[in-house]
This record gives sequence, C-alpha cells and structure tokens, in this order.
Amino acid sequence: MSAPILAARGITLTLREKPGTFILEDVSLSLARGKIVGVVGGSGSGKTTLACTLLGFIPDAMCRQRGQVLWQGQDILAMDALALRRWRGACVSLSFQEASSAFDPVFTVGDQIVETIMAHGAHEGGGRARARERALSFLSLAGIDDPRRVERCYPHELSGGLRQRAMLAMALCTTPSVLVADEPTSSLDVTLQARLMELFRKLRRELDLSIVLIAHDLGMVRRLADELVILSRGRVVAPDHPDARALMSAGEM
Amino acid sequence: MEKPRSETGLAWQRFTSDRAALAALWVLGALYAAALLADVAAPYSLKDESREHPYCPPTAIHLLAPDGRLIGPHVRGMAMAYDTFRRRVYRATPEVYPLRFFGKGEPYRLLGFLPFDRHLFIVDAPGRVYLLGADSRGRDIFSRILHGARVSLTIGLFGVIISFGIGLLVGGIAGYWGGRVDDVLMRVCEMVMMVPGFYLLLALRAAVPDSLDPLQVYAAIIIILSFIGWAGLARVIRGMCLSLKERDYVLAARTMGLTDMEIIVRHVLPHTISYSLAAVTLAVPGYILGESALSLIGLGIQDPYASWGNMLAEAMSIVRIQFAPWILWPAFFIGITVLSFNVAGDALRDAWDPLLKGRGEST
Repeated sequence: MSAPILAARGITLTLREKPGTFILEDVSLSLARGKIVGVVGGSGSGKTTLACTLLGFIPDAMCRQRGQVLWQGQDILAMDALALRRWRGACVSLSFQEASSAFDPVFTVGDQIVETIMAHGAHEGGGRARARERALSFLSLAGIDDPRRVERCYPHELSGGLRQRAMLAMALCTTPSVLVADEPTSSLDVTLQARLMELFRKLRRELDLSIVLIAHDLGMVRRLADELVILSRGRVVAPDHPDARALMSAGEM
Repeated sequence: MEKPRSETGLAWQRFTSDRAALAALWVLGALYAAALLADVAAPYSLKDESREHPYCPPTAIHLLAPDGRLIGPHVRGMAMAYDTFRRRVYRATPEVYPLRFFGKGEPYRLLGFLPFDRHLFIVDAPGRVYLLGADSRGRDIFSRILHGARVSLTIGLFGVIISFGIGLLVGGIAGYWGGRVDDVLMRVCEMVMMVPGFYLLLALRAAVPDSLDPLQVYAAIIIILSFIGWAGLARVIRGMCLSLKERDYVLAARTMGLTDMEIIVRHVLPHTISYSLAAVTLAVPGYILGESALSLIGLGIQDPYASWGNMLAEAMSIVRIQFAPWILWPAFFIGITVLSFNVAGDALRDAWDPLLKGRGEST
C-alpha cells in the first residue's frame, strides 16, 4: 500500500472537565490516495468528533491526550494557525451532517461558494465572475440539474437533497485532495442516497479524490468503501465485535 | 420564476406594511430633506438678524390687502412698541410685502458647492417674514430650525454609525475569540458604562479645548457621544456572538479556511442585524438629545451656528417662555424626531423578529 495521504494515529480525546471520560480512545485510520475509507458507528460513538479532529478542530470541551493527524507525513495538529487555515479547505474539506445549518442563512448558496473559492484563490486569478462560473460548474458536478437557479437561492429555499448536494459543491469547489463527508446521506431518501453514492464514485474517478465517508448505516458504506473503520464508544472495534454485529444486522433488516 | 427573497426583503415587506412606521419614515425623510436643502427652504441665513424685531411673534400671512383687494400672499410690516407695563408689543403697519416664491435673497452655496441665491419664499427688505416667530436678536426661528437640523439630525446618525461600528467590532471579537481578549474588552466596556452618562459627557467635553471652530466642535461632540454609546451595544453583541459562534455554518466557514475576521464580519455579525438595526434606530434619539443637552448648557454648538439644543438655551427662562412661547419650537422638532426614530425602531425590530410583535398588547 502506498503512503497514506491523510492518517490519524492513536487519537485520544477526553472531556476537559472530566479527564477520565474518553470521547475517542486510540483511534487510528489511514487513507490512501484515491481510496474511500468508511467510518461507521452508532450514535455517540465519536464519528463527528473524529471528522472534526481530522481537520484539526478539537471541540472546546475536549482535550487531546495523545495522537497525531498526519497529512502526507506532517502533523497538522502541530501546525501554526495560519498554515492550518490555508490547509483547510484547500487540501481537506469537510461536508456536514446537517446541510441546513452548514449554510449561513443570510447569504445565497452561490455567494457562499464564491466566497470559499475566493478565499483560496481557486478561481486562478480571475475576478468574481470567474469564481461564479467555477461555482456553477461545481454545482452541476455535484449533480444539480439547474445550477443557475440553485446558485441564486437562499439555503432555506432549497430541498434537503439539493442543499446536501450544494454543500458537497461547496466542499469540493477548492478541489481538495481529501473530502471528509460526515453522514452525507442520513437526511436523504433512498433514491437520493443511491445517487449520492454514485456521485462519490464519480468524484473519486474524475477528481482522484480520497474520501473519509462517515455514516451510521453500514450497508451503504460497505458497498462503497475500500476499507472500514468501525467505531463503538470512541474505540475502533473489530468486525466481529458485538456492537459491530449489531450495526450490521440492523443494516440488513 | 419567482425571485428568491432574502431575509432582508421579507423584513422590509413587514416593515412597510406597518402604517405608523411608514409615517415615521416619511416624517424623518422630510426632516432630513429639509436639513439637506435648508439653504433653499429657509428665507434667511444663519447670520441674518434684525435688531428691530426681538421676539417678534409669528407673522401672519395675509391674502387681502388692508383696503380689501385680493393681492395674494403677503406679510405686513411689524413695528415694535412698549405698552403701559413696559412690555414689548408688535403692531402691524400698513406696508405690504408680498411673499415671493423662489425669489432672490442672500446668496449661498447649494449642497455646499453650487452658487445660488433663490429661496423657497422670501419678502423684500425691510419686511420680515417670521413663520415661527423670532428670537431675542430678531432671527427667524424657522430658518434657524432648518439650519440647526443639519447639526442635530446628522450628529445622531454619525454618532450612531461610529459607536455601532466600534460596538459591533468589539462585541464580535470579544464574543468570537473569548478567553482573555473577551475579559479585557468587557472590563473596558464596564468601565465606560460605570460612569453616569451625562457626567461622562461633561467630563469629556471639558477635556476638549473651548476655543474650537464650529466644525471641530461638531466632530468633538460626535466623538464624545460615540465614546459613551459603544459599550452597551458591545456587551449585547458579545453575548449574541457567544451563541452564534457555535452554529454549524461558522464551523463550516472555518473548515473552508476563512480567517477569523472574515468569519466575524461575514458570518457572525450579520446575524445580529435584527437586534442591532433596531438598537441603532432606537439609539439615534439618545445622541440627538445628548447634543441638545450639551448645546443647551452652552458646551456644544455655539452662536451664531444653530442647533436645536442651543436654540433652546433661550427657553431656559420661564419669563421668556411666557411672553414668547414660540422659542420652544425646536423642542417640538426634537420631539417629533425622537418619536419618529422610536416608532421606526420598534417597527424594525418587529419586522425582523415577527414573533415579538404584539407582545405586551392586549389585542
């Protein structure tokens, strides 16, 4: 296996107020270029916390005891704030579980994507118009049929599925190498879920994107992921662990 | 296709459906327009005075000449005399001075640069038209109210803009960054808020030299008023930011690699707009009253320049109010301005936050 592009090594987080309570305990995963790693776990197993940690965000209430997040061998948790800010978005993007709250309700969807593009200079020196074109092309890449309408909408005017895809467009518009997708399908119906899964396959093929796919639904992830990490109460467990079995059987039901 | 509507658009729609708010908006619009065009609308300039007409009562506008002919709007001459009790009385004389609309009067610069000499209405000297009466030096109160509006109305706006700029920024930074920055900024706010407003106003005014030209005094008053006003807003904004920064879209903005200041200005502060817009509107009267208070006690705008506050300085004597009640006109204008700002501010708050509407009303 080639060297991982993004890897977590022995991440251990505890509550700041109660150092005895582990939120994540010795969690490791490694993502090779162009691969999809699935992270599965029940509610409260630490999936979202892991997603944030992979981007260098440790929630205020928590405290890192051990562990590193390695980006091409470099520990990003040790990077200074400026470098970390440039790295986020440009190299790794996060797509949120709740698309409805991940957009600022004050601005149109298009404006927010343009803002992201401009912040990273991903429009390659062109002006705002250039950035807008790029936003439109990513909206259609994310599977939106009428990007011109969606771009001018405020987040509350879009359906859940459109919002989810618009958020993916926002996460991808800087062409990051890695996408951390936190439960991208949990608020969608099965048809949309299937379309989104197809989209992930396409993105991996076309943009050579590596994906950390976080979900509580094992069935969906198993079909897509090259590798699986099963989380239970903040720990990585083997597939024959009772909690993992429970997840699996629930998915088959 | 229906045009997507922003929050602002919806709020504006609710605002304009409130009749009282619209009326207030029209009143304010008229007042500001009058202030802007004071040179045209006022028959006399700031420096104009007539020693023969101290405390001249409002002149009547007649249509019929003394002999009964219809000659159009005109005023009569006013002659001052003293009655048996040595009280000043004015008697109309038979001279007729027709009102000339857009007639030539004292030259001025329209909007500050265009040389012009027409006035909305004017009478030929030695006739005088006192729509709202005259003050102790025979100056036209109507003209001075219009000229004074420039000071009184703009001081509120500029003061509010400056202090809310500071308040939003300080509150945003304190709330978003938290920790030690927050502690330091909030203690500074409390120190400002600790001193009773009016005494702080006086103390700060005392710290500024007396011998300033009118423009400097104007700027000084704005700075002093804003210095007092920002702290209260900063505290409230900080509280709002503490909760706003936990929203997902703030985290989303951070994952997209935006800088802290970009996030504060673009994704945190705009969400305080429903509060701050109403608070701004409701704060303007405070600044207008602050300027009036300073000018009233002679620390603000100085004669011959007019502000509604320093015009009222004459009305500090009850005797004068008894024989020349029209010197209270500036108080009326302060009143309707403050009232309009309050009505508009309340309506703005309701428009942005429709759930609040009707609270405390029986209907």
